[in-house]
Amino acid sequence: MFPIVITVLLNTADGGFERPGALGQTGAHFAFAGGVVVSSLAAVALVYAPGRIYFDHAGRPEPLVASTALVFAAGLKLAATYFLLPELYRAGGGEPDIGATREVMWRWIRWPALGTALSITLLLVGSALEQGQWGRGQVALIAGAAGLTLSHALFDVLSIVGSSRGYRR
Amino acid sequence: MSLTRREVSIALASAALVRCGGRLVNPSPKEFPLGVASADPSPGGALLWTRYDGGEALRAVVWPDGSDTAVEVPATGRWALAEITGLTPATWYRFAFVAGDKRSSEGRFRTAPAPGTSPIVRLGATSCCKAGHPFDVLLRAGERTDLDAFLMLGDTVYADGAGSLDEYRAAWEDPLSTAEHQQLRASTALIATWDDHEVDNGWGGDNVTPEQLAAARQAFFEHMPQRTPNGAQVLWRSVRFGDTAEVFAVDSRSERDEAAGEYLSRAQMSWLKDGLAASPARFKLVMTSVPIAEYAVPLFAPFKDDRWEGFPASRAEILKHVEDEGIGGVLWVAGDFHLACSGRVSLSGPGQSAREILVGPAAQLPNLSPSYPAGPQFEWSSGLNNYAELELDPLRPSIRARWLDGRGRAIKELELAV
Repeated sequence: MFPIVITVLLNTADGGFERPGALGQTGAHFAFAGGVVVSSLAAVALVYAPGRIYFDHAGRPEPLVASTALVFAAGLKLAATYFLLPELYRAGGGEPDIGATREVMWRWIRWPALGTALSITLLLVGSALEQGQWGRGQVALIAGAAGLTLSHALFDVLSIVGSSRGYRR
Repeated sequence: MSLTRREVSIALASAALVRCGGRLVNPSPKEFPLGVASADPSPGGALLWTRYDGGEALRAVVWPDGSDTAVEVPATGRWALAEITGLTPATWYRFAFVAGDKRSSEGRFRTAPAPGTSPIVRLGATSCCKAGHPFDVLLRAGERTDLDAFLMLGDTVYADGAGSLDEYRAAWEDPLSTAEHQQLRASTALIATWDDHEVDNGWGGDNVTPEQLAAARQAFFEHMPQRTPNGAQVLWRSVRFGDTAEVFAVDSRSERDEAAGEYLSRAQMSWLKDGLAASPARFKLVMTSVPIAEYAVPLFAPFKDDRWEGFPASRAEILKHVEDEGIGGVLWVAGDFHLACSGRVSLSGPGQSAREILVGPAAQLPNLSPSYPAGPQFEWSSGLNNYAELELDPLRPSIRARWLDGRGRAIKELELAV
């Protein structure tokens, strides 16, 4: 739920809760943050489900299944964040410039997005190496998982900060 | 135990009461809340156990499966033990405890084959039974009628957080009250060791207080019957099944000396080395709650200090001893990892010709590693809840191992050349 916390902090810092007539804008920020939460949970489910199905069938995890699922989940999450979530700012009423919101947000999230892509690449490489010999790909798997955790968290936080800045412009 | 004609007559009458009705119709779970168990079978008997909550004199009645001829022995204590001897080797027996007009449920055990004989021996094995997880595996294993004994590799209960004797007893009582535990414990003789969770999570020798360890040890011995040929409340011992197999139960936890780098005490190490070298059995199974195999990969490295690998001198000493003495037929059997697997103990160095299998978890989450042991060192692994069945046929060059899940379905079958 940290996207909601970030949004509360941003709004508190900007006086968004007290400013007259800002209720709609605050609602829009929370709608976006809610969208971030939902998209993150959906991404986790998209990665977890195939891994779980494989485990129930084979009795063991298969890193390549999870890594491949991550590619799809990350792609969908990026698309949802870029194309869909900025539209939620319309919930604040008026005529928001969604294009500008999207543009500013992208400037904030492009590096974490690249970090996420590199981390998933590491996970894919590690998974492939594990196929050949147990243990051979585990350094890559550990580095990829650490990078993914960090970059994904940054991606979510900065998408909120960036879209917030774009919306206010 | 030799019996007079009068003793046999009395015992026969008791057994008839127990089995055929009269005043003793149904088991009394109030007086015997944890069922019954047997343990450490010998050619002439076994150790019999129950928890008795009554006040009358207690005795165990034992009769051959399918026969009316019975014998009885006195049992003592609230966590009551009775040692029955003088029975026929390699024979199935039933037993129950009787006190006044109350009786326990029935259990069964098979006496071990006599030395000099080499019948096929079948053993079950599992580890890690955490309350709150389904106990289906225990139920399926307890439905078996063909297992000569069942090896409990530790973490039979999770007593984490307990400190006093009463708390440890409660940690045992809750799971042992379940039908699944009681069915397994009544179905055949147990051969048990412990792991960390019988004391505390991550316990490994000196990181609990002596008082806490004493309480945990007492509760363990109260609930897991076993012979103590090497001293009071000393876990390590062996159980022999004729010339077919000898099971060495190792205490992998309480005798560690981290400062000296010793995983087992010198006394235990000497006992294990001498026992393996002297055993005439075709197969020697070493029950070590924590694996001895090398898991030299980054995902398993952080926990290295908790297992044999963290004590390289002890590990090398026992593995080199087996190799140098040319001791054949050794299979290491372990639990703890929440995964089942089979493989070589090492890829190179000491243990490269040795084999280890992991059994269980019976009722636990699977190992959380995203990648499980595989080739070239390991041939198979699984995180499904399971118990293993080992068929030890001295006429065959290998041990047939099967892992079965909570539905009784075989999830893997392997021939283990040892």
